[in-house]
Amino acid sequence: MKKNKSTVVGLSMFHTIGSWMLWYIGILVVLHIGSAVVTYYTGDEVKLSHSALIQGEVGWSILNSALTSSKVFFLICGLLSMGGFIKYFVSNGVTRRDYYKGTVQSILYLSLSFTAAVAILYGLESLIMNILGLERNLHVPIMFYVKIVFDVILFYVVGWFIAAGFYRLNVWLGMVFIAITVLIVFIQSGIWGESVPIPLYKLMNIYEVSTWLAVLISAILIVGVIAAIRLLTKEVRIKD
Amino acid sequence: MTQKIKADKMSLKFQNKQVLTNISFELEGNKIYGLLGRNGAGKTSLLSVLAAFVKPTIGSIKVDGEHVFENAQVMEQIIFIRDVKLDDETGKAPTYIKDVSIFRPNFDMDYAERLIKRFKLPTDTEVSKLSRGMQSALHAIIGLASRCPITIFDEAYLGMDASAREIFYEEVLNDFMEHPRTIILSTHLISEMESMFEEVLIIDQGELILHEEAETLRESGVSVTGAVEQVDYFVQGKHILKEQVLGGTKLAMIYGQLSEQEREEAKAMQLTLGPITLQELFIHLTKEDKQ
Amino acid sequence: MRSSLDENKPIFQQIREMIEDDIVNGNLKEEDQAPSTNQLVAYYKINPATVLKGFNQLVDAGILYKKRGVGMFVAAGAYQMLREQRKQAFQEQYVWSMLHEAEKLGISVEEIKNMMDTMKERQG
Repeated sequence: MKKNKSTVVGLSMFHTIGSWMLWYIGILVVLHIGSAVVTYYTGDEVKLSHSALIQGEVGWSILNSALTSSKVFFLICGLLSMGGFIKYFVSNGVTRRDYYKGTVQSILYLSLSFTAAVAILYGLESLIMNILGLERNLHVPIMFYVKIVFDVILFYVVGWFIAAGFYRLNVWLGMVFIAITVLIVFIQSGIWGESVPIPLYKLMNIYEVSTWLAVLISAILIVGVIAAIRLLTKEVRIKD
Repeated sequence: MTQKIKADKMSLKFQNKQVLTNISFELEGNKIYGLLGRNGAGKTSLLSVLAAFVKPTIGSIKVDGEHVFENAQVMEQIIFIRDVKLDDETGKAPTYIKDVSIFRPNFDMDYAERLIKRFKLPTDTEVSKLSRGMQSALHAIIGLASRCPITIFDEAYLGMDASAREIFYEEVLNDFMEHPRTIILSTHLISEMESMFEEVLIIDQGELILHEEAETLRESGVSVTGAVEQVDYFVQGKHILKEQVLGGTKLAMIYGQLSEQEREEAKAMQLTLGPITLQELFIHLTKEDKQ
Repeated sequence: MRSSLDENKPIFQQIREMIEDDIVNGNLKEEDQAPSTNQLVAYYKINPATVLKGFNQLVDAGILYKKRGVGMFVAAGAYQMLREQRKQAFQEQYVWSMLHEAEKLGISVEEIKNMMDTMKERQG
């Protein structure tokens, strides 16, 4: 049976980055349990509530921890998806096109599996809370998970986008790519109603929009960035 | 299956620097080719274009009439092995080999395992922690066991010690006999490898200056020794590679074959004719100050 | 067989000479099997096509013959043929250059003959 090369790339990248993700989730859970135990004994109420949770608050749960830290984690994954990987694949006789398609596939797998993992962890957490008698019946809207999927994809692709910019062009133009990325991230945060504590962001006056519009805008941003990456990597020279 | 490689007036510019200039050649395939050039002559650049690592700026490079660049069918059949460091690979050698093997339809895992034993490659050490020589051996194993119709080794043997190189040369020749394919070996260490080549390409300052059968090349240089005036008279109008005078005696190296008549003439002029090694020929053809 | 090759000469020529030497000095008798391509390739690390070129010249010259699927064998009459060739070459090369050198030094043919007798006696 001969598999499509891009699928081989996709699965191979999913395998590698997925294993990083398992480490990350493991650390996340350990830190979360650790801080939960600490707050339980000190009795401090930890206020980490997130307006990002669409309509209403979930309170403090693994969802908050995951939502915040995953952005940084997947941004880093994106940054690491360029140089080493494209060289590895082209060295193994894979076209840039298949590398590109495969990476996009793996991002999809990663975002879905990460969101699923978070949902399962939240379920477990609620279950344990209930057993411990710590009632906390909160309704998590499905859109919350949709947002996680979009966030993971968006942060991953902007990381990849920056790395592709630096790889293809020089350092100065790479800086421009970082600036573009900051703008994209601001828009993403704004439309989903998150506040970013940076003066520049406040000046930009990005308003929270309806959920469906936010989905649409996020999708457009993602498609735009992914298309730009294709242009950057289409005929790129493989560096030593 | 023969894979004919054809480069047509190919040039490569990189960051405004002319790296390759107007290179044309045709390789019939199923032979072992030697690509010779000094350091920085453009060997790696030329092979990078062939392996689709970079697109030629002008001209084309084709395999069986198909452009190489971004061509999935062709790229799958070309493997380009370089002596690069694998400092980020945390997996062990057998895993690393297994991972790359999925990209090569002809990969022979049994052969790879035999090679691991022959090169004494440690199988329980992380690839990044292997010595340079062992990383070279790992590259060589992948290059050989992939059995790609076009197999390129770009000075992949420099990190190996003498005995590992011996094994490498032997395996290249043996596996080539059992599974004929196009093998391109680039090197600037000629004397050690020249006997393996069927054809030789010499590149100098980004230009292909020679493409010839190795055996013809071995006959293509003549050294002429004798009295100064006699030698000067004899080499007149010939392609002189090197001249050296010692007292009343002169040694001149010329490029090109002598006719039977010329040999008789030399004999009559009491000149001693001798061969030149491929190494000497190479050194003088790629001298820095060419007039 | 030799321990190594001379890098000054075309390799096919050296392969040819090697086999011829073995036949002339009796290491390879008529109808014996010549070393295989694979053996020579592995031993000297040389290109198989080059070895074949040497072999093919010997086949063309009637020194070796091919048995399909088995290998190369020394042809009947090969020894005699090579001996004749060598004799001819001996005269052309050694004798010619000896006479040439003798002329330079003013040695007469008579003197050369005497020298040869002396050397022969010493050799026993």
